[in-house]
Amino acid sequence: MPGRLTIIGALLTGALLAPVSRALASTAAPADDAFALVREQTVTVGSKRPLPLSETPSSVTVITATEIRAMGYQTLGDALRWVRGLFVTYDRNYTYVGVRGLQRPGDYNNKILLTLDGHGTNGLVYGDAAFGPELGLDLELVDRIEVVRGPGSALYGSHAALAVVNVVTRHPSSEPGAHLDLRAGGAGEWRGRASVASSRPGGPEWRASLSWLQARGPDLYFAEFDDPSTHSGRAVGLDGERALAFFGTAEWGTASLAVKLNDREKTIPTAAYGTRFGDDRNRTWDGHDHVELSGTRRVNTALELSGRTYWDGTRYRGQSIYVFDPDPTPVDSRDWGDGDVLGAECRAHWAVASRQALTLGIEARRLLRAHMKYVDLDPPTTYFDETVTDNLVAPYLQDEIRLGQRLILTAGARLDHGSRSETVVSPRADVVWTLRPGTRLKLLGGSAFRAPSPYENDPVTAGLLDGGARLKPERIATVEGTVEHESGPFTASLTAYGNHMRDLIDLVQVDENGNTRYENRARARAQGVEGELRAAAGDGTRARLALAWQRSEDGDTGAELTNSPRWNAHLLAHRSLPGGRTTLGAGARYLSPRLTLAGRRTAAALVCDARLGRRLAPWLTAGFEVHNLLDARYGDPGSEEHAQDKIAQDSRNFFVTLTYLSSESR
Amino acid sequence: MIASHRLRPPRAGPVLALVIALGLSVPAAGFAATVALIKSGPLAPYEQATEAFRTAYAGPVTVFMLDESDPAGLLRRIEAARPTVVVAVGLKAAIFARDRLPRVPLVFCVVPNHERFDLTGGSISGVSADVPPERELAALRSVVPGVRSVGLLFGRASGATLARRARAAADAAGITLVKAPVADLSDLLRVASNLAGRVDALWLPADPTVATPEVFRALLGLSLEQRKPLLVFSESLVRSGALVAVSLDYAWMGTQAAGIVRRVRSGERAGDIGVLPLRRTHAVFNPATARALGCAVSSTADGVIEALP
Repeated sequence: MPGRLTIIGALLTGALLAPVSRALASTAAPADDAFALVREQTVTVGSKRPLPLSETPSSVTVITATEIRAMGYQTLGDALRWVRGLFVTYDRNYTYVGVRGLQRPGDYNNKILLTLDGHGTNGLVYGDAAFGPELGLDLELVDRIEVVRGPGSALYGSHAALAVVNVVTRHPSSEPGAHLDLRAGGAGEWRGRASVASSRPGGPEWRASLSWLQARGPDLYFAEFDDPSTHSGRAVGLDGERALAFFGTAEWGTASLAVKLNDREKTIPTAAYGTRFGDDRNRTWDGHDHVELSGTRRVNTALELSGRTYWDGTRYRGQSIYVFDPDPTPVDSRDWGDGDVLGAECRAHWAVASRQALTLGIEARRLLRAHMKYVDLDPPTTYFDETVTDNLVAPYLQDEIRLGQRLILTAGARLDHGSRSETVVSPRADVVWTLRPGTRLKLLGGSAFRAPSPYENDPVTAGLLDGGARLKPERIATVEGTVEHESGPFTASLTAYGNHMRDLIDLVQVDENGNTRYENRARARAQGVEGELRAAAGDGTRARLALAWQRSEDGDTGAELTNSPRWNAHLLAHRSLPGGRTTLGAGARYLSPRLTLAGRRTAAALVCDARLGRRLAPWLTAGFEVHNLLDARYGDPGSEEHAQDKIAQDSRNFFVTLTYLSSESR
Repeated sequence: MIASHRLRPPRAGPVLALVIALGLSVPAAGFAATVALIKSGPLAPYEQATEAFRTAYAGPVTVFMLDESDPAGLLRRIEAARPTVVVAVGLKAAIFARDRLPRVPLVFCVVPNHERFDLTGGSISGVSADVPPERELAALRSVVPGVRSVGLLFGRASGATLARRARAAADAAGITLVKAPVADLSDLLRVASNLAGRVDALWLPADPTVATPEVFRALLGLSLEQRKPLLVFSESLVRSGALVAVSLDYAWMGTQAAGIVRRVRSGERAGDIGVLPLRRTHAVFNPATARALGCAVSSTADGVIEALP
């Protein structure tokens, strides 16, 4: 593990522990009615208002903190497996999320925008969205995860092509005090977390959290390497992982500060990119850091201004060990992909009239550097050492009009003008029509794009073999219709959609030696239907049954796309038993066979998870969970860089969690 | 453990049975409709509004007290009541209902400065608790007819909107408003002392940065020492020695909230009803303080402002 982790740990442990006693000791002043009424205003500044789902034109799924805790999700990938139409692929290094049948090998989730409290977190070099431990976000801090399917570029710009995943963290006032968590599980997995939050009237509200992960990982077998010279295909102790992350927020008045730092190290057991199988030096290191200062000001009853300025830093380092015949001497190769960006955004919400509201804003960002380097250590050889910069200016406008009691029309567009890529206009329009009380029809149409990442777009890095060609942005046009009906505790929805993609960027193999390159694929299209039934019972029970069908194919040949499950379904339920001391969560999910790059198919996967939580004392809760209860054996399709056509997924595993809550948190 | 691609037929029966059992165990009795009233806390104004609401609203009402230590438990209890409308009494309760029960129409009351907390639009309605500054200045002028300038203390961040409205009201009334933004309470006494020497009266508004017992005591001392009338935001502070205040009628708010709930129950969309303006207030002054300050109460004040006993 690099020294960076040690430094972060030393700094943050001290920062976390010092204020614990003060936070625990804070008490409210005696109440006086005249002042108590006023004082209430000081503890809710900055609360965010979720748009009612009924008025959201997009197909939205919200994963609540209750579900996260009831099911024991540890990463966003864990949670998104239980979202209608989404599926998750794991190549034993990174977690990839597919949306409505689209998860192209080698795309690093770059067609999904991942935001943390509205702050974009996609990588600056590869455009990657991190959904596994590489993100460095403890889900105990999360208040809800909002998954908005469909084109989002009209407001958010690049990456928001297939979906926007917005993670909303808990406000310090929701759970002040100290939390300590310890989690242990199979395959030598250990996780820990310490968090402190303070919310005192009249003072700043803040939260700081430090989380840690160490896992040995399971021993694996890969038939592709079943040879005496490669340990008979056994990868023993090669799936390990270590991570350390810090997340902190502070609010004072209308200003907010957020700081996120993390570092994650992963050993790669699959010998990706033709590296030497069985060598534990094949590793990657990742970090997604940011600092953001933001504020909101209501000028008058009709106008609210908000602004933010930020620094983002993404770090990637890889170590790869190669052996090139006939020389048996291992070659130690290193690569880097680091980026830093400064940005600012101003946004105004203006209620032009009682039934019309405008959202207008402008975002500007400067990519200070995207540094990409690839070298061999011995003999010293530099294949590329590129640094690129970029500027982006993007104004946007959205207009919402309410017609009568039943119709909401929204239209908007964003123009993204970058110094290294084509100027793109992303329009969108949608309608929410209340047919009758409890029944709504939502229609949506729009265009979104994904700009090529610096790594894909640099002539040297992308065209390593033959110079390559500048890539065009991927463009996706979507039409979608949803009918929703609420009846008592039940909500049912049925969605039909069509996606038409052009200039899709794929990692393709360009010669028989396994060398790869990014290219704009001509076209692809997808259409599908999704149905969902949700139940919200009065005793806190929540249940969700979802079924999705889709078909994705190459726009030119009509051939089925790889890693694109035709069927995707899940059933999930969680509840708190009477008395409130015990929670129970369980679910089953199904994924139909997927086409692999070799033209074969993965097996269907039916995976069941369950968790039992129990409050042992007012200050202590325990959780017991089992993943893959039925011990289903299945694999996810490998990408171009893998020798494996299918990559084995985890078998049945057990976990135990203990959580300490300070008196303020209870 | 060695993982492989060998596939076993899954055994889904036990877990599916468990999940289905969870779903079927939902008690049907939890779905009776009612109005849920959430109180922010055990304060007298909330009690007055709640009692008035219950009296004015004839239908079934289930009352909940906001329990910040167990919001999930409170949410479960409220959802068990299957409310068709939620009434929030107090700001914290309104924020809780807004964020946790976004699908249920919300009617709030006794919530100061509701716009600052985004309690507008959508499925939200309520009764404003913001006293128009015009009314406060009129009350001050009825007790101190010759007042020409007023010094307003407010939090630099939290009171900016309030200060703008006060400036507009003062301009309309022909009064010079001297604004004194305070960033830090440690700076307040110095700011207030400087301010008192430049104006005819001091104004302590219901701004969370400055409306604290300590600040009130400091300003009261300054008021009596320098013979500067003090305009405040609560009757109880007038009883404590401040000169004049325009206070709220909490029972009236509860009654108005009941009227909104009836409209929502009859089919109106809460967001279309909007937030009703504060129509009933109660201006009071302290005669003993007026005498000490040498104020000549206007003869036209009868019936407009009440002298506290």
